[in-house]
Amino acid sequence: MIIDIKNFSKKYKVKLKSGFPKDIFYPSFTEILAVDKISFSVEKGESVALLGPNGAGKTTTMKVLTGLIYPTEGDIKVLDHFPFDRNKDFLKRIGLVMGNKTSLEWDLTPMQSFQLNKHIYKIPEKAFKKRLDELSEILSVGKLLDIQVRKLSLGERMKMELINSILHNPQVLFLDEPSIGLDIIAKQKIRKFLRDIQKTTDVTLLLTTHDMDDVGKVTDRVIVINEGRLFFDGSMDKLLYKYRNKKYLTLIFSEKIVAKEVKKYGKIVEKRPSSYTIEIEAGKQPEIINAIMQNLPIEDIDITHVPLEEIIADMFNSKTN
Amino acid sequence: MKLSEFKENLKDKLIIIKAVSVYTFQQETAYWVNTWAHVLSTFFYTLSMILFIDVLYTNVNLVAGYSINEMLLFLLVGQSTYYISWLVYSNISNLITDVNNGNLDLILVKPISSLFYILFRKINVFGVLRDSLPPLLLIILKIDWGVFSFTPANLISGIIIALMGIVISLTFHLIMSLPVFWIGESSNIVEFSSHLEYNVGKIIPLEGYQQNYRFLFSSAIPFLISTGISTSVMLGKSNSIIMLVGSLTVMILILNMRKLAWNKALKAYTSASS
Repeated sequence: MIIDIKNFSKKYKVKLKSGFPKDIFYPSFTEILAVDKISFSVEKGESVALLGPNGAGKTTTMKVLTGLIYPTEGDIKVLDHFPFDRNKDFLKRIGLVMGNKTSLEWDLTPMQSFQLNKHIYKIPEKAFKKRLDELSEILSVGKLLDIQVRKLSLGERMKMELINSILHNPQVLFLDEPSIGLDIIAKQKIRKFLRDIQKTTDVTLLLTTHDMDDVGKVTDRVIVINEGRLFFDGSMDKLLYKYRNKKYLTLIFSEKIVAKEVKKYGKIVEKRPSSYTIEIEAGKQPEIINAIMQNLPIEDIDITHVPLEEIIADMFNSKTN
Repeated sequence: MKLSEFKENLKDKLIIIKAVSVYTFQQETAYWVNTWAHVLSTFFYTLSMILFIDVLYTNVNLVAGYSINEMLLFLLVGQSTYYISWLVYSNISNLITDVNNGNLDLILVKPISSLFYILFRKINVFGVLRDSLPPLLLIILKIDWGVFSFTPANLISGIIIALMGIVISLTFHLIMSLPVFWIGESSNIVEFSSHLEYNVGKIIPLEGYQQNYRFLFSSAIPFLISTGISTSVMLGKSNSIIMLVGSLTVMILILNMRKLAWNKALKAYTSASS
């Protein structure tokens, strides 16, 4: 077992706003329960997505698993260590990538940051060079290693972040929204890269994301957390089973259209000044698009899966009802 | 800890310090033109201090029992300890920023003592040499060295006390930065403690203080050690053994306090959300 969590909870102390001067002299606090007694385990080589809406508790869970924050209660083991002890042996065997934060020095080149990490992780020179050559070739960034980080694009920087976090060959790689803000090409490359290294090195992956394509292409198992509680743990197919026949069409019109005209083609789920999003049956997608193109002044159509937030909200409602 | 473990640990830390120094040098030289502007600022500050001392001693021979050359030596020790602190001081203000924006996350996952890495992740060797050499040279040339009769014991004791004083002052500033883990900000607290260090420790010699203040500023607020006490010991005005033992005691106490406070702070760390 690589990760084993039993009854993990985390509470945060939050200051209440009571106004001046009470805020300064007698501040009052309340506790917010971010994660409420969740339990799960992950086996070696598994690739698991931790999903949930904003504020669900997934990033808190990941931060506890990497030893960044202290759990309020629960029994937590990662690679047989209590993460918060931050034992050197444990830290050498994990890697962390955070989509919104950079571990690379902005004013230096990626190579200079990699060199520093080589010393910190005690990677032998030969192994470092070999690994770096392999990774930069797979991610096609060999020519960018000596360019200042601030001059790289977001996608290029994220590839460098990935290299930085796995140069030392971690056994578990934690990824917090690794594809956030990236364009479709960069997302595809990073997904393929993650899948490849997971298959070839047997690294265990745990990622949080809001992007359903990340989940489908990188992970085999999905854990859904909502309002701090775990309420789904299974395969992606199982999660989407109920929604596999649904698609969302976002229709952008060249002129104003009344809702009545759009309603004929599907259930309206979102309405904006010059666009509507409708829910349709996946099997009828070609004929519905054809009919819309012929009858309405359409400028553009965007086809998407049912958003994760809605699936979770729907699941949550059906459970509580 | 076993001796072999201690040696291994020390070796690791020296390797990191070397790597970090190179890394910081690369950062400091990334913007070549900007880096030189600071030299002018430090040089003119020292020049104004020398002029002030010259003016001060026009009508008097002694200030707080110090002759003009002794006062210039005090200035030299004060400036030297300030520049040595500067090697790593920026790491304390960076810690506050990193706690606020959550970038501390990516430091805490490194397999190295977090407290050590926080304090030494940037070592501004090049910047400090560049900024300190011209003004220090100015003071050295201004001092009439022939008037001093240092004993080797006093000189070595004074230097050791100055180094311990630097560790003590930096540790005090680090402890002052830790409220950021609970209240979300502490830059003004650190700024206050830095001003206090300058005003208490770098302007008035030890002998200028009454006994009560000497005790206060050598213990609870230990800013007299790096410059006031060390210069006094070098000049033979204070007992070197007593001051060495006293400074060592304060250093051991404050380093232990720092470790306790750091462990408490990490437990309170909530990590800014991504």
